[in-house]
Formats: sequence, C-alpha cells, structure tokens
Amino acid sequence: MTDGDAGPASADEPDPTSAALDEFARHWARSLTRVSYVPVRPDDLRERLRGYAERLTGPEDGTVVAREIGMALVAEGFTHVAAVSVTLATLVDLLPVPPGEHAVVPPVADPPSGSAVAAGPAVASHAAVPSDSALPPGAAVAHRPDPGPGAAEVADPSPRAALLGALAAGYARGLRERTQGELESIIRAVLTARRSAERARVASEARFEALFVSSASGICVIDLEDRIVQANPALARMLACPVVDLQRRRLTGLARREHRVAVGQAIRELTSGERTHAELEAAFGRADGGTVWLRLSLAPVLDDGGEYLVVTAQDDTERHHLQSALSHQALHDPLTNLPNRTLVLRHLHELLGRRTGTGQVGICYLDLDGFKTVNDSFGHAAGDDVLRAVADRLATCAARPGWLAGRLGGDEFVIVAGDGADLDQLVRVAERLVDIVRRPIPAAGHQLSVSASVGVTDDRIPHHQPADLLRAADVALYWAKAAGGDRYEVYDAGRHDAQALRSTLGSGLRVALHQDDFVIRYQPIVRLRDGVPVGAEALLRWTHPEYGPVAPEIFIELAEELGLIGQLGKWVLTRGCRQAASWYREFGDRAPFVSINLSARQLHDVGLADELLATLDEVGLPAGQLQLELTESALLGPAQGPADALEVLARHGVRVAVDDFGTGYSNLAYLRRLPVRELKIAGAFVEGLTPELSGTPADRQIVASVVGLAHGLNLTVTAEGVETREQAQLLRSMGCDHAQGWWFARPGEPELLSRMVAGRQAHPVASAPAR
Amino acid sequence: MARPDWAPDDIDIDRPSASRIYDVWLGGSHNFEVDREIARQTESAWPDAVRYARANRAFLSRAVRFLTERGIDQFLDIGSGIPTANNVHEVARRSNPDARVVYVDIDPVAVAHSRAILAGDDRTAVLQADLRRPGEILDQIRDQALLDLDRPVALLLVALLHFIPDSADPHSAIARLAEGVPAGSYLVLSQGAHGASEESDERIRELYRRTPTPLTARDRAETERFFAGFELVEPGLVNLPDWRPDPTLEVDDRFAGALIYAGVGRKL
Repeated sequence: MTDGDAGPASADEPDPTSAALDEFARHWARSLTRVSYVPVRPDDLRERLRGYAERLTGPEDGTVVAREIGMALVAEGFTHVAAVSVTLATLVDLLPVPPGEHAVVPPVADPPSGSAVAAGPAVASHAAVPSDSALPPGAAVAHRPDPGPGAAEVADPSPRAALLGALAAGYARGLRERTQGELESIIRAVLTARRSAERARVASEARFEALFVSSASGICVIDLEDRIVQANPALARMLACPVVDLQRRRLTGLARREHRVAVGQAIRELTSGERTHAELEAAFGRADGGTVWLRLSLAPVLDDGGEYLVVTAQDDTERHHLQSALSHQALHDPLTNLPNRTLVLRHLHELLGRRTGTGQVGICYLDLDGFKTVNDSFGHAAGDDVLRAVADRLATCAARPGWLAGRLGGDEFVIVAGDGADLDQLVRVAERLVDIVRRPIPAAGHQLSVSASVGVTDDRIPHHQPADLLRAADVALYWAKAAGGDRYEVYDAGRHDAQALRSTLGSGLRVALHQDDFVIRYQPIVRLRDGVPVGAEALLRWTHPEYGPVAPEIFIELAEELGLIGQLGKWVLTRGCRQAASWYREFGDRAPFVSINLSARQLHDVGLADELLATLDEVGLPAGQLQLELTESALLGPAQGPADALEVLARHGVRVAVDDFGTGYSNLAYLRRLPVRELKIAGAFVEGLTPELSGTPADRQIVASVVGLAHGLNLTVTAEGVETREQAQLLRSMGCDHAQGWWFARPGEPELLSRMVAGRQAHPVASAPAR
Repeated sequence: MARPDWAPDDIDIDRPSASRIYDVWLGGSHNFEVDREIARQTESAWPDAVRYARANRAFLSRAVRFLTERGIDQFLDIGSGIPTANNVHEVARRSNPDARVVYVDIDPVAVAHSRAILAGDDRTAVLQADLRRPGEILDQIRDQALLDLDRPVALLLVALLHFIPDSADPHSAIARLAEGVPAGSYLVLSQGAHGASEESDERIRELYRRTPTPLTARDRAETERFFAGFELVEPGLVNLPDWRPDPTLEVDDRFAGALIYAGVGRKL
C-alpha cells in the first residue's frame, strides 16, 4: 500500500487532511486487528476504514454516517465488543477535524499499557482503550488541539460527541440484529438437524419394525436375566403363543426340559463375554402341547439402556422330523415298527457296556413254530398279520424301562431285558410270551392259532458279548424247538457243552467213516477145557483226532442218533469177516471164528441176511466162522422179519449168540423160537466169582444156572470179563465152555490171534502144570 | 470446523460442542450458554485460546489462497464446522470464482446450518460423514460428482485432528482418503501439540471431556506421519503463525509457549 492510494479527497495539491486520514485508518485497523478476528486482508481493511473516516469528515450528516459505520463494522465481522471500544477511542483521539470546524476533544488519560490487551479478550472486552505506542508522537500532537485552559470553552463539542453516540448506537443495533440472526439460524439448524435425525430414526425404526414384524424368522430380545423383552409374531407362531404372553417369559423355560441346560449355558457364555455368538438347536414346547425344533442364533447387543441378547430362531422341526424318521427307518422294522437287529444289538451293547456285574442283562429269543405253514396256507398277508400281532403282544411284555422288544427278521423276535433283570423275571416273561402267542390271532379273515418257542438266557454265560448272548438264547430256543415247541428253554452252559461235544463227535464220526479211521480190535475167546483160542470178538475202536479214544457206548449211541449205525455196523461186519477169512485161509479148521455185535437196528434191516451172505461169499468165509452177538432186547422184538433173517443165516451156518445174557428182562421163550447157539454170560456176573470175596454165592449160582440152562438147551456158554485165574478155574469147573477177558488176552491186533493159534499158545487156564 | 468423532443420534444442545466453542472465539453467536461457558473457562486457563482460534482460521485462509494460486480449484474441507466469515469457498473464489468446495462434518447441527447458509450455491455441497469411514466420504463425493476425483483436490483437515483420538486411527483414515485423490493433490492440516503449560493443558483437556470430542495432542513425529505419501511444501511443519505469514499483516499473531503444528503437503 502506498500513500498515493490514500486519499480520494486529494486533488491538485496535497491535502493535509489526507495524510491525517491515512494515519487514522492505519491506527484504526491495527486496533481492530488486535481485538477481533479480521476476515479481510489488512490492506483491504485499511482501505475500507479510510473510506469511513473520509465520510465522517465529509459533508454528509455525520451522525447518519456514524450510525451506518457502526452497523457496517458488525456486518464485516467485528463482532467483538472490544471492536467498538477501540473504534470510539480512535475516533476521539485521531479523527481529523473537518475544515472549518473547531472541534475540541476532551483530554484523555494516558493510554493503558499494551499488556492489558495482550492479557486477552476477556480483559480487552472491558472496553479498554488500546495502546497507541506505534503512533508517531508528532502526529498525535499535530492533530490534537491543545488541551489548555481554554479547552472548556470549546465552541461546539456536540458534533463529535453526537458522532460517537451515533456510531455506538449503530454498532449496538447491528450487533443485536446479527446476534439475533445468528442465534435464530443456529436454532433453526438445531431444529432442522433434530427433524432430520428424528426422520432418520423414525425411518430406521419403521424399517426395523417392518423387518421385525414381517420376518419369517422368529426374533426375540432377551435381557441378561434370560427374560424375553420383545418377541416378534414369527416366534409367537412358532411357539403357538401370543406375543404378549411371551413377554417376560424365560427363554430357557420355554425350551423342553432336556434342552434347558444347553440353552441356559449358551446364554451364560454370551452374557459373561466368553463368546460373542452362539448357535444351537433345541426343542421348545408349543402352547398347544406340541414340540417345535428351533435352530437358535444368539448374539449380545449393547443398548443405552443396558445389555441384551438378540435371539433369532428358525423352525427346524420338519428337518428334524425327517432326520428322526430316517434314523427311525434305519433302526426299525417297517412291518412291525419294532426295533430291528441293528438297534437291538446297539441296545444290547449299551446295556452290557454299562453294567457293573453279571446277571443284569437277559434275552428272550422267540421264534414262531411252523410259521412257514401260516404263509403257505393262508398267504403272506395273513403271515404279516400274525407277525404284527405277535409284535404287539411282545411289546406289551417288554414295556418297562431298559427293556426292548425287537424283530430280528423273519419270525424271529427278541426281548432284551436290562436294568437288573434276573433269570426268574426272564423266565416269567418267557412263560407269558409262550402263553400270549398261543391266543388266537385274527389274520386275513381267519382266527389263527400259532405257538412260539422261546430261548432264555441271562448274561451269566461265557464271554457275554451281545453276539454270545444272542447265540446262547438261540441255542435254548433250539432246545425248545427240539422238544416240540410251544415252550421255553433256559440256556444251560453244561448242557450246551455236552451237546457241543456230541455235535463235534458226530461230525468226526462221519469223517471217520469216510476215512476208515475206525479200527477193530480182536479179543480172543478161548476154550476153557484146553485154552485153545477158538474165536475172537470183534471190538470197534475209534480215536478222535482231537479228543483221543472215544468210549464205544458214546460213539455207538451217537451213530444210532445220527443214523450212522447201519453204515458202521456193515463196516464192522465186512471188516470182521474179511479178517476171519484171512485167519481161515491161514489156519483152516483151526482158524478162530469172528464174533461180531449186531444192533437191533441192523437186525431189522431187511437186506441183512442177503447182504451178509453175499459178504461171506465175497470174502471167502464159511458161515460157521461167523458168530453174531445180539442182546436180549434186540431179540425180543415182536417183529417176524428179524427172526426170519436169523433163521436164514443160521441155516447157512452162522452162529447166533445172546450177548450179556441175564442182564435184560429175559423172556426165555425166544430161546425156543430162535436159532441161538450160544449164551454169553455178562462180565458183571463173572466179577462175582471171586473165591476170596464172601457174599457172592448168588453170582456163582446164576452162572451155574446159566451154564446148566445152556447145556440143557444144547447151547454153548461163553463167560465174558474173566480177569483172574480163579475165575477161569471156577468157570471151567462149572462146565463153562469158553471164556474171554483180560486173564486170557486183551483185545489186540489180528496178529495176536494168529500168533496164539499158530503157536498153540494155549492159555494156562486149564492145567496147573502149564503154569 | 471442529469435528466430533462420535456422532450422537440425538441433537443434544445441553452438551457443549467444539465447533460452537470455536464459533464463540471467532465472535459468532451460533452458540449456546454451555458452549460459551467452556469457551470462558478455556480462556481463563489459556488466554491465548482466542488468538489460537483466529490463527487457525487465518492459516486456513492463507493455505487456501496459496493453493488457489497454485491452480487448485477443488477443496474437500473435513470438519468444516459452523460457517463463519471467510469460509473456504469465499477465500478460494477471490482468486478463482469457479472453485468448488465440499464441506464435511459429523455434527448434524453444523451440517444443517451449513446447508442453510449455502442453499442455492451449486458449487458447494455439505455432507454429514465420519472421518473414521473415509471410504464412505469418497463414495459420497463420487456420487455427488461436484468434485472430480481424477483431478487434484485439496484435503483440508484444519483444527480437526486433535479432536480425533488414536483409537479412531486417523492416520489410516487420511491414508485412505489420500488413496482416493490423484498425485498433485494437497493435504492441509493443523494439529495441537501443547498449550502454554502442562497445568493449563490438563485443565483444557478436562474441559473438553465434557464435549463429545476430547482432545488428543500429537508431537511432531506423529503429526508428520499424517503426511505419509505427501511432500511438505515450504516451510514444512511449523507453528501455526509461522506458516507463510501474510507480509502485509503487522499484527503479531504469536501466542506464548504454545505449539500448534501446521503444514501443507503435496501428494507424490
């Protein structure tokens, strides 16, 4: 800025007033800048203020101009009240006196120190006059009329005072208007902001309300006490309970009892801050008594009023039911809706897994008797009806905690009893099962009567895995079936073992027959008179590869049970005859005959005689070299066939002996009717022929009588089981013809006989000197 | 101008506001007794507060003038506060009548007032937005299409950052804003480091805790970090009155003992 810009008033010659105005404006600007924010550049400000000064000193009405300037200062932003005080002070001190006017300015005190201004607006606002240290002293003096004694006589002080008053009034008015305007505008802004915030809030709430109300998801807000603060209609629908009735209810309390712990725990973990989100599935009770499965999602929210949890819920009932149905289908029999084998085994497994001792788990294994007949005779629909009816009845027997009725397949059912079931209880259930199945069943228009066999076991069995229990019950069931059905049997391990052994031996027996594992031992029969071996009893021996030698009584009985006795008997006959033929070829007339036991069943075999004769022919054995031993009971049958066969054989020369004579219910009539050649006295009687022992006269008498009887009938007598010399001597003295037993020889290889015959190894029975 | 970093949903004029306190010091009447009370108490703790407010305002004007002279004609004034004399568009238009300005503030009252003042001016716009969500600011600017973000823009954050706590991560917010403008754009900011004394600083911090925007002072290193990716123009980061003072201004704008950083950077 230059002085040249200063005075619009300057014309041809420099106006001394112009410089004063410049100085005045510069001072005024500085004062204002100190006390107020100046929105314009300093040079602009000076320019503007100089203009004001010029007008004040110009020809216009000073008071009007002063009022306008006061208002303009406010308009330009000099709103701090210090601005008007520094302005007034500057005007009083420095405004040049217009030409022709003799204004006298009243004396002013020394300007206050600059520090007052520097102390800040708070101080400045007390209208302190700013310092003017920068003002050239000369300038001030030049324009300040001498405040001498004549000051009081200033001609017209009022124009300057009126000017100051007008400026102050204008400033005050401007400031009041501006303040009012600004306040109005800020209040309007507050209201506008509030309105729009309110609108936004209402809109937001409306959106939330719309979402909350129309959402298909159930939503509720619960407080930290687990109480529902707000619930939406969807949740109310899911729980079949009006929204108002849900309020203040506990969410956990709405859950089904078995899910309350899980729901409560999720809420606790969220409120304690352990988790920030939780999801779980739980069953809830509906007000109508039903159950709804909800998949819940929980999250905490902070609100001004406190902390809450927002819970959203999806109705998952259908999926849950579908899943349950699928799992039900996988574990249940579609026909009877009873648990299937898988579930039965699983249940059994669980029971056995958690029991503490034995005797707590049991099984009733039920199988219908002759169920196939129902299907065949009445059709499968009837069969299905029967199965369903049996299933229903079974279920009533198993209706107690820890028990389970299931269908294993076909017509096989099972009741698994847990919870400390004892055997007595199981037996009662089995009795009841047999009884209720027996009651007529309406099926396909008929009243059908069926029966069932039941196998019972508890877990006091070896092993006791689920499969072992089922097997044991199945074994007992088999026993019930074998005994004719319509009954129950209790599994017994001992019985099962014996059966198992027989079963093992039975299969071994077949194998042995195929593989010629049987052997024949020959026990010499000697003539008591001279000790010459006249014959040999063929004794069948079997050594099981695993169990060793098996007693003949056992395997013979087994062979009879298994229907193998005919085959076995034929084998012995053939082998025995072949051996005898061998001896016969070796020794001719001196050869021992072979004595072979014949079972009753063999005797009844119609082809016996023909086959035997064919065999004799085949092996080349004269019929007289074969003796058949029959027990009395075998001979006693009423049938004519056996007698005829014996007759035929006897006619050909086959000897017939009665084995163990005197041990059966002897009906001596057969001795008249049948071609018997010899009686064999059982070893039991021979055993009593001990001279050292007293109290055996009866045995001696019996033996003597038998010998007498035989000889009377022209039969020979053989004593069995002779074990001592005394017995042998006694028998000889009693006239007994032949004898066999350990005293003479144990059963041995065929070579034993060959040696005895060849070496004339007469046993020293007869002659004392021979000993 | 002063910009809350936390937006209350309710308009609460019982609570003092930094922008209205600022208005008190600039001689405005856009304020209420609660604001004036804080202003008075702050002044009694630190008499230079008023001069500081004026100095900040003056720095803004100088910086805008400086940038306008350098050809910048787009301004994004964040934390614009209550409009007062010498608003950015007024300063800029003295040099370039076509200059465009977008004012951003989080305070709904400041925004409403600004809108009322600027109604009908199609080269200015006012947004209510939050510096903590710079992405939203940039999106709104793009949607509005008043500023062309493909041309250099001046980002103004004057007397704002000491109202943003570190927890709001203003550094990241500024970096994100800077990503949204091209090279050659400018960043203008001021940041309080300390007042006249520890005691008065503590007293003022205490006072501002009553407002929604407590004060956060930052040292030189922290303040310089705002200029990451920018090159500071002369004279660099300096005390507020020392940034390119007006040669014609004879008044000493300095305030004793206090340090308010001011700086202008050019995006590289």
